[in-house]
Amino acid sequence: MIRTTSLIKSVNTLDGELVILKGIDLEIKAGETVAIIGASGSGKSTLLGLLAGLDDVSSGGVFLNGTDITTLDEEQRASLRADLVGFVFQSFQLLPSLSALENVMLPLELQRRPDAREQAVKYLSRVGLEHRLTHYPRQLSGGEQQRVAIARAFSNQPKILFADEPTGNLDTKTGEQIIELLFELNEQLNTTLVLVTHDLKLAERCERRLWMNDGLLSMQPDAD
Amino acid sequence: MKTELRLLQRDARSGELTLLCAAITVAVLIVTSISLFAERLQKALVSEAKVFLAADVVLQSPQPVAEKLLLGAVTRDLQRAEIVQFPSMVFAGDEMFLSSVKAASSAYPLLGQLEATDDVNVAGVPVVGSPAPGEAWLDQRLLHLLNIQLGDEVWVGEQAFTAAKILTREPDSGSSYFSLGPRILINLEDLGGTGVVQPGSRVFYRYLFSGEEAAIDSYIEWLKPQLKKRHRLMGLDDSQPGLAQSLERAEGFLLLAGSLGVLLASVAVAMAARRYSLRHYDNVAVMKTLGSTPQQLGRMVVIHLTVVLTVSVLAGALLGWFAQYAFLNIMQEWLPVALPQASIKPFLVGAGTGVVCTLAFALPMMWQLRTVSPLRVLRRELGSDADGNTDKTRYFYLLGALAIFALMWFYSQHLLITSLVFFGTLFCGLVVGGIAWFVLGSIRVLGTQAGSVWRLAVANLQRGQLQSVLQLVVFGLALMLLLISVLIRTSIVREWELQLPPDTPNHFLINIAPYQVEPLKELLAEHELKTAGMYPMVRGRLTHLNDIEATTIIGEEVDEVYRELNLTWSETFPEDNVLVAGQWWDDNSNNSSDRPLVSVEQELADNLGVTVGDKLTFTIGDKKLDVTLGSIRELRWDTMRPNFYFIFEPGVLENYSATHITSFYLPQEKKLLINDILRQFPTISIFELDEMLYQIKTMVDQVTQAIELVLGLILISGALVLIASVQASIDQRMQENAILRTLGAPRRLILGSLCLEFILLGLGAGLMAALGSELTAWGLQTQAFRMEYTFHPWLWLAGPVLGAVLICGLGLAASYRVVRVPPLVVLRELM
Repeated sequence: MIRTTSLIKSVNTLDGELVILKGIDLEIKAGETVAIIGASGSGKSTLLGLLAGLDDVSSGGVFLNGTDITTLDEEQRASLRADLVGFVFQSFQLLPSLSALENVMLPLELQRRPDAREQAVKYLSRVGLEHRLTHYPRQLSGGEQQRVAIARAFSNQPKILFADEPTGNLDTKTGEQIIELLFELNEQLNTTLVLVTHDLKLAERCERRLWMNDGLLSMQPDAD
Repeated sequence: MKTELRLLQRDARSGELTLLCAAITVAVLIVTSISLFAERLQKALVSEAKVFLAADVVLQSPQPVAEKLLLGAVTRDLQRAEIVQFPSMVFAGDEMFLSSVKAASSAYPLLGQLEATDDVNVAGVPVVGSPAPGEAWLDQRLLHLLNIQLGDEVWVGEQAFTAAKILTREPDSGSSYFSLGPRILINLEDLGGTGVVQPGSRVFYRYLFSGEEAAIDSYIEWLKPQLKKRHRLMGLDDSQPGLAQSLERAEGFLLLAGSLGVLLASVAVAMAARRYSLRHYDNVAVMKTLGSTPQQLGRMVVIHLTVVLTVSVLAGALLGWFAQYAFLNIMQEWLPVALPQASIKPFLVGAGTGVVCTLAFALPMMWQLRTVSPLRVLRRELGSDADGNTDKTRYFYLLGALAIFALMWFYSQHLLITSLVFFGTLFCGLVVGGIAWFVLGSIRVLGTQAGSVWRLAVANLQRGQLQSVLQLVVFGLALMLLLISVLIRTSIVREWELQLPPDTPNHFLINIAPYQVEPLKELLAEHELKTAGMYPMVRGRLTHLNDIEATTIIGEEVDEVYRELNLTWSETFPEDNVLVAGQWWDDNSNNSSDRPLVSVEQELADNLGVTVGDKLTFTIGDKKLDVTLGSIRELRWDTMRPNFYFIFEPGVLENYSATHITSFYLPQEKKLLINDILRQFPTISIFELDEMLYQIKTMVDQVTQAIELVLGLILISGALVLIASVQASIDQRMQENAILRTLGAPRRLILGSLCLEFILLGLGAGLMAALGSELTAWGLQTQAFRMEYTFHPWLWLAGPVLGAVLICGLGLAASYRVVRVPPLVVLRELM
């Protein structure tokens, strides 16, 4: 489902070229749940962004569902994301100008689904927010916002779900509820889940754990 | 202090202050440059207007003035020149002609220049000084009439002169108004030798003075109480009523433009301060977490603003100076007189504007930074009071608005224009803001039914409804200024110019005997010249008002009761007059008095304190004539048609000996026709006003160009405000569009919704602009410039279309980065 070959990402800084990812080879099967764990600045979020085609690679390949997205332009990658990918972010990233319902409808509309509204209502009910449909993000608590984000992420039944520190902005209890919800839906829909976190407890919930250290992936934590 | 300055330095390095600084600088720049430009131009216009007098002030008298009256000028170090003007026969060989002789001292003209030529076929050029003794400069027509060439001899009285130059223009030809016959200009030293000026001759003595404004004012003040009734002191205002009015209008236009600049400046500063504050929420929250107190933060804001203000004011003043210098350089070729230096006032006004804008618009917004919750460190969505519309913020804005109004008022010194612009804008803002608020609420319902492009666009507009409404009003205001400037340029100026259309009568014929009327009409018709009507004219005095002697109740300032007046009669109501009281005789069957009726000009009626039904007594020749005031007319003297204070009903004045008066437009190429008229009707006198009209038209042209330049500056700043307001929302747009891209939205969806959003905004703003400029046009035309109101249908099409195209274009250009930057980069910044 997801595969990278010798993936390298570097950026130019004032001090010269900084290599963030130093050649990542990774393969994730369909339906698999994988946690990428690492310290801040280790490059895990960069990897997630590249897997989702949110940024350009420096070299190497990224295959999503058999397609090398590094050969696609920004427009084609967006189109691929609309069909294939869902997201859950640490800071929720809801559109503040749209209501909860409209936020969830958005990816469905991008797929031109005629049943966008019904599906959105269904998934918002599924996350327990059926009474909050017309509320705007600013009127919702952090936990509620993340639940809207999860409803949005699953509403178009993506094959792949990328989650970036989904509980990072939430208190422990709410975070736990959110994680339950995330894994529950994931299981029901048999979605491939790639989860970036530094929370080992959360990572434990995944079938496989990969450690990101200094731009390289390994099967186990660094000896340090 | 050190800490604050260090923080400021960091802010400055990271570019956070650039927009705020730029906004205040632009504010100061606009105001300083316009103010400088307007002041210097105004000074130039005034000095040019004084050229019409050839002096700053002129004392005219039918007799030589007592030397002691002139002594005051000597002690005040004023420049002096003297003119003696009279009609006299000029001889050359066997030919002779009644000419208007002007004997001028060598210092004449004190202001402006004579224009003359040595060659019949070459146009006149400005020359320094006036004829030397023994020389005469002549009107070209006089050469023809006397059948001589340059270099030949002409005689005035007993003195021979060499015809040295052809005189093509005198700066003060307008102010002498009724110059009888063709001009011959000689040196004052030769006057005695001619022997033509005898006691009782019809002569005007004119004493010209020029010098420092203060010295002139002091001389006038000293001189006035000593003047007799026969003396006439002519400054700018009373020598040229039309000119004074035109200048007042010009000043109005320029100051109006200046006031609009002030409004724009405040908007720019407010937007920049808001953006600055929003971007500083995080910093302030962190500082609070680290232990900064609100008091320290307030201190920081004040210190930062003070430094920003100082830098901006200095930069704005400097740039303003360069800007006006560049503008004036372009103008220089249109302005014949060297421009006087500006005072320090424009710089003070510019700096003052910067201070007021900062205090009223930047400070309140930034002051609210103190209230940012430190919790924001943990929960980004927490803002400050500045987000909401707290009572305190409203109070600050009210103060700000008042301050701006006061500043505009101070700036324009014209309460009416300031109020019209200010309250017109405020009213439009509130009305359109209210409508926009309502409409946004309604289309939301529509939006949820429609596709995502429409929904995103509407949602973007509706997010923080207040902010959208504010943006709409701001866009609308900028557009309104744009429309008003086009309106003024095309419409009002044209309507203004129409008051002096190209075929404005430029020649008056008087002393037309009754038997000459018909043949004269035929002659003019033969040359396809249309007259403004042939009016009979009887000279008479107004002696009594309701049987009380007029001079006992009316002061000397109303000189109409102290001199002979031109009286006329007419069956029909004069074409361009307006009846303001009473009835005209053709529909007045109920004349209750047994006296005949007279119609009076409004201003004179006011000055005399008379109204419809009052009894007026005239003395014509040695006879008394009692009449009843039947109607009051409003009229415009600057139409160059024969106008009369008093018009009698037909049948009253016919028994008195009358001459006729008319005016007509004579194109330059038919100028020599005057010779034919004078040959055929030697007793008719001609007043040639074409020179004066030419001067007035030139000045109107220059003023128009000046206004266009000022508006050009305003227009540029309007576009800047537009871009700045798109910039202000760019962060949020970047974030939203990054999310949309992440969710897989195609670029055309984002561009489409952006387009639609800007178009909706543009349409709304355009409608508001059309409404606002129509109202402003109404106010300006009817109230400030005393013109007739005309509806401008094109505004209602141009406004929305222009708004949509302009805002969509500028908006897309300014937010292009939104769709270009990879989503991860944006999300990174925001995560």
